[in-house]
Amino acid sequence: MLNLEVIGQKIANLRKQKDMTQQELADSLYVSRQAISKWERGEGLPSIEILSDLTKLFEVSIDYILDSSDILENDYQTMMQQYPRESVIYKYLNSSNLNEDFKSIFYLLKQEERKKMIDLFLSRNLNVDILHMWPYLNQGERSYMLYNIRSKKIDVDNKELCAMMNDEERIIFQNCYVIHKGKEKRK
Amino acid sequence: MKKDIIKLIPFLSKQDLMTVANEILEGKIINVDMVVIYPFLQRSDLEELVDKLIEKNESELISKAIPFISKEKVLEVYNAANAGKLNDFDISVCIPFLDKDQVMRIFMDLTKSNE
Repeated sequence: MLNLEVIGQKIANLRKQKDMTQQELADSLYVSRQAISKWERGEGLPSIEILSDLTKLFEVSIDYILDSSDILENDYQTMMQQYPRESVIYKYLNSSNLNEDFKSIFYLLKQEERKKMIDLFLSRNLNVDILHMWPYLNQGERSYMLYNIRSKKIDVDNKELCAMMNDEERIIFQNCYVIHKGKEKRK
Repeated sequence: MKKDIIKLIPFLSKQDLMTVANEILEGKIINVDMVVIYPFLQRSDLEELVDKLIEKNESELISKAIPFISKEKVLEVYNAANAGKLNDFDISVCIPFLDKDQVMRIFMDLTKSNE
């Protein structure tokens, strides 16, 4: 994904260096002033043909305009600012670094999106280690997780997870764990 | 029927979702917008679907899939559109979803063909 704000800022700087207004640049490229304004705000990108015209007009290389314009694979904050949220979440869900990237995206999510992410984990459709998730969950989400770990029989590393919990959570978890294990033994 | 399918989408298995997508594509399920299924499909399934959409010249459905597919697949769509295989496809929607190197290559190709 390209960082549209970085490219937009470069176009704006080059225009100002040429002492041109947005309208003058628009006229020379045969586009509307609104299109220039949109590009400079990072809300869109010129076509390849117009990028080519821009390099000629400003006498710069395409490399200069696109330099530092790749968004880092785990820079979900920038992606969320510039691209549809749904597509950014989808990108995360299809990432090969689910554990590592969890902390980079989870805090950016709205409440209902966080809930969906937790439900995906509980339905085993999100392959993230709970130890990576736990520190980023709020109180309510932790309680929700604890009760569901039991009912959905999610396998967890109880020692390491317990070490991350407060006393109250540990009691709930251990009760759930004992009940769950007890039922298994009876079977 | 339409509402029922849309409500069920989050609970369908990956396999069932693909079946629904294919049936929409074949016209067996009507009045359900294919786009609502995209976020629930696995990327490999969505990209397989995009291949079928390219074959069927479904430009609008393809452009709505662009934010969800890999940059490699976006480039394939761009090339298909550039080769005239997609009617009324706005090629510029692809560019932000490519990476710098891919855009550079397209730019160089354009420069060469203009020379």
